Amino acid sequence: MFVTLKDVRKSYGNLEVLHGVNLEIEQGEFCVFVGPSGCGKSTLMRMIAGLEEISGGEIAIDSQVVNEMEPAERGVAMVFQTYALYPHMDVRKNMAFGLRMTGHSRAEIDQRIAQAASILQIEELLDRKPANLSGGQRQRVAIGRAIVRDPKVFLFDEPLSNLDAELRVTMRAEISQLHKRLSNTMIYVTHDQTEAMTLADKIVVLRDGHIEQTGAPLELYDDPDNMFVAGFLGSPRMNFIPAVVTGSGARLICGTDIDLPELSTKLTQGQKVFVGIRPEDMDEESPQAQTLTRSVIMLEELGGTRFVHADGAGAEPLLVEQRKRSAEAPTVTARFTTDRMRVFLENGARVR
Amino acid sequence: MIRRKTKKSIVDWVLFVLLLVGALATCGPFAWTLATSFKPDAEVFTYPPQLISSNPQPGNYVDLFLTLPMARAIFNSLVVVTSITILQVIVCSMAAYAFSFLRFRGREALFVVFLMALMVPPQVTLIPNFIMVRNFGWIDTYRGLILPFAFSSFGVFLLRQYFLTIASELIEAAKLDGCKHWKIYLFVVLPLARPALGALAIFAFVSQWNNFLWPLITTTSPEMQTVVVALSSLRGQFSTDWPLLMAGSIVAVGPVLIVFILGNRSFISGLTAGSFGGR
Amino acid sequence: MKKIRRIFGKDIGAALFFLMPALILFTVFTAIPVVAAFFISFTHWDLFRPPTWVGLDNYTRLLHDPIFGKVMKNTAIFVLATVPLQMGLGLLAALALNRGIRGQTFFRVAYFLPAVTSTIAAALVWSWLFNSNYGLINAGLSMIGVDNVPKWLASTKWAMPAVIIVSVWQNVGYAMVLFLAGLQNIRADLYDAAALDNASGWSRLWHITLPMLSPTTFFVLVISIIGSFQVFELVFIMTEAGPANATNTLVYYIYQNGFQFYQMGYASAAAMILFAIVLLITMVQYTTQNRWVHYDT
Ligand SMILES: Nc1ncnc2c1ncn2[C@@H]1O[C@H](COP(=O)(O)OP(=O)(O)OP(=O)(O)O)[C@@H](O)[C@H]1O
Ligand SMILES: [Mg+2]
Repeated sequence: MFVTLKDVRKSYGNLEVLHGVNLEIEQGEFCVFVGPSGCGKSTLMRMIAGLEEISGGEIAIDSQVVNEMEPAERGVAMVFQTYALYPHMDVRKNMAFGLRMTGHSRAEIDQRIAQAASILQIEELLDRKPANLSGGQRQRVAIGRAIVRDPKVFLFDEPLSNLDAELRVTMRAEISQLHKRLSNTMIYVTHDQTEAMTLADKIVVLRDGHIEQTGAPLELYDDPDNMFVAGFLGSPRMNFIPAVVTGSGARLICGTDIDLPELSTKLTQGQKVFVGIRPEDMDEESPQAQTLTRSVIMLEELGGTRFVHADGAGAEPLLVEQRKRSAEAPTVTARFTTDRMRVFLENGARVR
Repeated sequence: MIRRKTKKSIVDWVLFVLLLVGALATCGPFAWTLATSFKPDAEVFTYPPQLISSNPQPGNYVDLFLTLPMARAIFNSLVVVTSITILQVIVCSMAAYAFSFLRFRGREALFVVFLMALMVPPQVTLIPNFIMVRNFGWIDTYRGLILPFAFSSFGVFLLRQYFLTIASELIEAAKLDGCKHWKIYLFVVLPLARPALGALAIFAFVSQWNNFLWPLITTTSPEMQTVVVALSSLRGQFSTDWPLLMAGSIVAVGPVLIVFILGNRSFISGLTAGSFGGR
Repeated sequence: MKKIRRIFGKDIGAALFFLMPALILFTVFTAIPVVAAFFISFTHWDLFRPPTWVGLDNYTRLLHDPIFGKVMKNTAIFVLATVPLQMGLGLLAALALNRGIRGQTFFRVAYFLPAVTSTIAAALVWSWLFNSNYGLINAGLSMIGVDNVPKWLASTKWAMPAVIIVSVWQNVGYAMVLFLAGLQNIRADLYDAAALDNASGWSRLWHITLPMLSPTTFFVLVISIIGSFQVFELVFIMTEAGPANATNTLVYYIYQNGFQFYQMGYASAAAMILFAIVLLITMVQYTTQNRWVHYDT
């Protein structure tokens, strides 16, 4: 394993904000930390970078424990949310600074800058000061500054969140291509699940200083370990319908009886559960589909698809995605099959 | 609406005139000093007084530089004040760096101690400092004139205030770029803090050029006097030679006024930053 | 090493390096002298013979010293006269300039010039202006028909007002610049809100400007009082504390006793009184400021 975190902990004074994180990242992997604000993503990344002290546990990069190493000795480069370009240096100097500090030759510095600049297409910006660059250009320069150092691990802390929506999509694609081209290990922090899904080889979902689940994007999407992960990934988010286990299946909060998928764990009759179904799985044509008819509260027409918000019968409204156009109706009938159904216990744990 | 506008402009005119009168009061003495300094002795005591002399004489300035040790005093002041300014900028910026960017135990407490030093009137430390410097044998030396002022709590405070506006990500980026603290200080923080360093430098220059009591008691020979002390001893020697005394005043004030007028923007911004950051 | 870093924080090594010059200079020229001044004030010391410990003698002497009584009275008068004058005039000038009157930069520089001028030079110039026979001021007074022109620096009655005038002249610009910065810190939207409420100019001044300015006023007040207590150079040049100690003030008295009479202990005791006054003012103001200072959030 290339980057290894063993029971990593962080406390500020008496307040522990990371409660023992274990994680392994392979060489060349694109790993995304995702989670709600304040869950400790940045802190974890900054500990890998060496910007925060490690209160407990061990971090190794390239099979070397780096706990006591200076940031620069760890072979990591970081791209900050605010870019953190040195305002008093032009782009070329910004990119050269780290190499100069670590004693590279002039010729090598020039060559590396030229190469990075051509990858990022910022050749014509090299003599400008950061103040004279647009947000997207600054971001490129910040990435360029990381590239020239040829780090073992790239660290990105929400690099796109200061860009407007359109630019964010473009830069996202570029970062993805960059990873394919450079094939360095990359760790990327975001709270945007779309970025996580599109960029990652491996997603790490964090909450309140814990890892909730680790895995490939589709693994987490299709087979979440708990309600938190199931709800966090996917937009719009999964429907969670409160239900009570009956003899043969479950009775939903609205009174409808449905069949549950085959589960290896036996549920006892009368037990409260949540049945999770994604909105896009609520309009199946299959003959095995079960149905649930509810009255419509609101309709969002997006052209290619539409989202129907239906009465939740005391719980949250039910969201049904319909890709086929049909006439507006006062009720909607959701059709779903048991294989797209995820069952969760009251405490959020998944029942498989 | 229109009436309100004309009313406002009348008020503005009245205020403008009042402000001009005020400016005459603050700047008039400078003009009068300059005028007197060129007057031949006989003209000084004419009534009513004339602003422009009918027969201006540069003789007082010639005297100041040729027969009196004013040139030497200016040289001393330049040496002392420039050294103090450079030292303050270095010493205070280093301390401010530690208070802004380093994590260590007792940081806040030490900073508070430095701040409390701002409340100690300089006259309190005057006597012990004098005795100490005398025992060091530093009377009539540049060391004795410079070192007691090489550090300033105000400077630390002013610079820290500015350093705290520098994004911490920049410091972190520099760490990742392989900088040890002294390199971050030198290559990132100092270049970024140039406006604040300039403000401190101008402030130090002006206030030290005008510093009087310490050079008065720690210099005994005319060779080591600073300009302001030399001016005060002119007063003792030539108590009624007003044109000469006015010429001396012009010489003592000139360099500071030039520095101030050239740098008044950063001087004032430094002053006000020092006060408003403080609360 | 690791243990030291654990106890004192991870940057303790760098911190020592960066703070070393400041710490050495601070310790030698500020910390030790403050403590030393305290001890010296309990001694008799003329610098030629070793000091002798006399306990509270210097302080009891100060209490019974009629000149010191006069010095304290003079200092109090000086502070009470200069502080309101320079603050009031400084505030008026700042309010006027803040209306966006043309020539703001010019006025700012013009009013601030006296503040950067050497006090010694200023005192010399004003001694000449106040000269009772040939000075510009008395010439002007007789021209407008004043017969009995004051003898200013030579008169026990008029010497102190003269020193006060010069001090105000020198410090008005300083107060003005600080007030102006404070005024420019007041958020414009407060005035917009007031304009919508149809508030008149006076009520805006009274209900918005002055309350919002109070932190600045507080700051200017503190430094003006502390600065005024330390008046020395004007007295040194203009009157040498005369006539008949009419303008002798606390710092001049410290200087006189320390460096003319070589009574280091006695001078230090007077210096400790100054220190106590400054500390007391600072403390009183910081503890009472909440009652009249409005900080903007
Ligand atoms: N210097 C600090 N002192 C005390 N607590 C801190 C400090 N820095 C961070 N924290 C706490 O640690 C927790 C994790 O913070 P962190 O910045 O890692 O969150 P994050 O996941 O990056 O959130 P965001 O998405 O908002 O950036 C938060 O609860 C935060 O309040
Ligand atoms: Mg974060």
